[in-house]
Amino acid sequence: LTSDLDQSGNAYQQAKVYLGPSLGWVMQQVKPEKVVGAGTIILQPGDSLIMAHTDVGPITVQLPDVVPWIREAAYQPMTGFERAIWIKDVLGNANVNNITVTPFGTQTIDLQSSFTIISSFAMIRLYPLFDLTGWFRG
Amino acid sequence: MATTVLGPGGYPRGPYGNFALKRPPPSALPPSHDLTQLDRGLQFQSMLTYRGPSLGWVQTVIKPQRLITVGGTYFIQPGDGIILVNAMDFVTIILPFVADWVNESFYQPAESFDRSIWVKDIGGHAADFNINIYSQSFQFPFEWIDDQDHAVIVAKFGVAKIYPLTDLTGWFLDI
Repeated sequence: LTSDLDQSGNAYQQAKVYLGPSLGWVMQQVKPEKVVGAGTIILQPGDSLIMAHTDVGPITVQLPDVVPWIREAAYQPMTGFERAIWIKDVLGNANVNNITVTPFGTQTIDLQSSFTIISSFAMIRLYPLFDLTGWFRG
Repeated sequence: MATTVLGPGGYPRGPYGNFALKRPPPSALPPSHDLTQLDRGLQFQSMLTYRGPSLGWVQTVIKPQRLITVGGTYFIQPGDGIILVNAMDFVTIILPFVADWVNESFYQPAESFDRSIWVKDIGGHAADFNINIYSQSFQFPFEWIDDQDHAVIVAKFGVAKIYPLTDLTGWFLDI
């Protein structure tokens, strides 16, 4: 990894975050990046900053179920710091190859069933709603 | 006559060192819609943040959310982070003095992690019922939000992300 300056195997900052007496203190990555390409991508625990390469074709990003995302079972890796998901058109072709973001099941993004990035270099920042009904755009 | 003393953690214990009358669990249940409080008390992530030699390491909550469902005026409280507005009425948010917010007295809860205040229209009503956010511009020392006395959310599902200026003159908007 090019950003692994100390060759420790950890490319990103981490922070110890308290998740309650059951899970205790867990190590969370701060804005870990994941590169995705054309097709359908299902986000996984630990995903946080999604760098979408829109040069080949449209991308569909399927968000995780917000309930386990917040309740956070004792799995590894944990959700990223502050539990947010950022999706960025890093190559600037989203005006041609749209990025469609779809929530899990009947969950919503700002009360909508999906959100589409149609502008070059645009980014959407998603945060889970505390009532577990979906996500809001920050 | 037996004497009750407090052991570690505040538990009363008998005179022979046996723990007795352990504290009962909290009687108040979390709101029924709130599935996130797995341990009946923690809704959001938190972490230790260093706030200087006086306050030391402080447990700060990360992006805590507060829901407002009725119109009116709400004064930001210590510990607030994200204010979610879902009201079919006009809502006014009053920011605290930025000096109080940043200098941070030794109270609990401490300010949330990164000290930002976000106001989000999650109901999509802001186009009809604007959300006004006022700084302490109406009294000394006359603080501002980007040189304005207030910011307004006028777009559906709009969000205002407000951060304190470290020179304590006011706030700036992340737009």
